[in-house]
Amino acid sequence: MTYEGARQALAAPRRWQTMEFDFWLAILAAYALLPERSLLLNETAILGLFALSLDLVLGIAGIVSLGHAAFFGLGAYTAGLIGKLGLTEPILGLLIAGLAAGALGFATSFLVLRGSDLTRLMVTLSVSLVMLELANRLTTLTGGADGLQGIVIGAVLGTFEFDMFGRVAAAYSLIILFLLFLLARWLVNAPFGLAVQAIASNPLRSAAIGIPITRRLIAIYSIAAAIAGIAGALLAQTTQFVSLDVLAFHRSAEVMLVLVIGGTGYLYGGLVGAVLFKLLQDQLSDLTPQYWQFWLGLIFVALVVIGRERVFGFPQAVWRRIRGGV
Amino acid sequence: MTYALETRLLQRRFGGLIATSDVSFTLPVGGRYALIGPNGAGKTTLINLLTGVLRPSSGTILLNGVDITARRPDHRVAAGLVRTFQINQLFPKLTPLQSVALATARRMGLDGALRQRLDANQAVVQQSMEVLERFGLMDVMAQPVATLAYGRQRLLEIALAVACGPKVLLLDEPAAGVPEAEREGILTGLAALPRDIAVLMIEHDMDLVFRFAEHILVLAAGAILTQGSPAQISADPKVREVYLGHS
Ligand SMILES: Nc1ncnc2c1ncn2[C@@H]1O[C@H](COP(=O)(O)OP(=O)(O)OP(=O)(O)O)[C@@H](O)[C@H]1O
Ligand SMILES: [Mg+2]
Repeated sequence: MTYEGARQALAAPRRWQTMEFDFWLAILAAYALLPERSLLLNETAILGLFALSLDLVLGIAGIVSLGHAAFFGLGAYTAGLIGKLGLTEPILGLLIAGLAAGALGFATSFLVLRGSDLTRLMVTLSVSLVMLELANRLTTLTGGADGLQGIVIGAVLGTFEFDMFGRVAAAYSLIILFLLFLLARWLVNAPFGLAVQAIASNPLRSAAIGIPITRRLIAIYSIAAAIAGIAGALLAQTTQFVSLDVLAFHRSAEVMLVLVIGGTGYLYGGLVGAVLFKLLQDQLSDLTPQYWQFWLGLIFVALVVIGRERVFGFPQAVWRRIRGGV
Repeated sequence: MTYALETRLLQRRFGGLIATSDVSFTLPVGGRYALIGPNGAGKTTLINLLTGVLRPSSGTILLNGVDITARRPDHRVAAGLVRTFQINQLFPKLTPLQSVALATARRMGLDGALRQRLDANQAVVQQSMEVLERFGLMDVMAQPVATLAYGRQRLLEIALAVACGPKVLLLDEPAAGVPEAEREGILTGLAALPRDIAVLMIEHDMDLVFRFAEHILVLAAGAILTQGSPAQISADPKVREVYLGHS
């Protein structure tokens, strides 16, 4: 192979695929054509961003976590508190919430990164439980079980007021999701991202070629925590309410489920998983308001047992035929 | 005189077992040494100590005269002490090109870079290709490592270490599991290494050892039994008893 061939082979992973354009066009179309679904779209974007953050940790860096809600929740409370205290500019709120969650990620990374997968599960879980308990106890700050109320959020960029139909909220969340997705994609395709993926794949060899493993993992963990915090902040800002629920264990479990449904390690898994999860949740809760969780659970068990490839392989093949025919 | 690598009374215990017992040896700059010894003699343990995968119970390790006994593994690599593994330790989902480019980038201090792109860095691409070419991996360089035949993976195992720009290269049984016919490629790749690189090769294949090494260390039960030129070692009755007699 020639120099040019090698250069192109190295550049291949960061080249945009047609499927990727299709995906984002579909999102854009959903926003444009389904204005009555804006609230659902907003929730989906937030869940997708949260799952994207977990993908950086689990799929890219190979760090298992059962407590990712710690960062989501801290971001939500931070954004909410800032809004309550009078700093109502949403973008600024996002940044501060991201910094706070990133700082928590950095501080806890030293605990998380030592030890085996099992230790990591326990440590991440414990961190989120501690956060939940803190939020529960610090009632003057968080409102405790009543939730944080009286959050005031200004217009985005001083121009776009949040409306009751969620049009601005959905657009805002989707744009932030897209920008942070670009950031994640950029990181993963940088030498830094290659090093992190190498560490996930074989830490022994990564160390043996001289990669400072701990430092790289701390970096990716902190960045992912910041992104999770921003996802939480989006929820706080667009709903103008934060409850203990943002730190609950089921939120960590749900985002893990969403990511596993969509597939780990290629950055779209969390987004695809979120779309699927929210669509099913929405449809099922309409059909059977009481038993939707049962059916949702059953479908996901089936998905995992039958295998994602086989379930999604068929529509993908059909899609390729359609595209190929055009 | 400073040596490329030197150990002084290196010792490592696993519970009651002394896996490395008062090992003192020197490897000169540009030396081509072999380390032989029966199974369980402590050869891999010695490499793990040298590279910092294991901590010694006592003793000292010097790299170019500098005490590195307490240094982190990645710092030792940056200082030029690089190893390969007895059992392949590769990145199955990456391609050989990506793997070697990552090691090359690491050598240039670019493995944490955010704004660079490896394909846009001419030195990285050029030097990665040189290493792949030396080990005959050009034709498979864009395939996932997991799909490569075992012999090719074994060559990549060495290529990855060479890409790190070693001053001292430690090879743990490079020919292990490689069919007789394919072993030549390993020697060819090693023969092209710059002369100032010191190599310590662990190997059970005596033919390979005698063709490669100018000096042989014999390890038995964790301790250095004897050392000398290939001719001296092959004539040594002690060596025959513990080692050559077995194979
Ligand atoms: N992590 C460990 N814990 C306990 N014992 C160990 C450990 N690593 C190695 N040993 C023991 O130390 C001794 C030396 O092992 P080592 O792997 O260094 O031998 P070797 O010379 O490389 O053998 P081989 O030719 O089979 O590769 C063996 O008895 C082995 O069982
Ligand atoms: Mg061994």
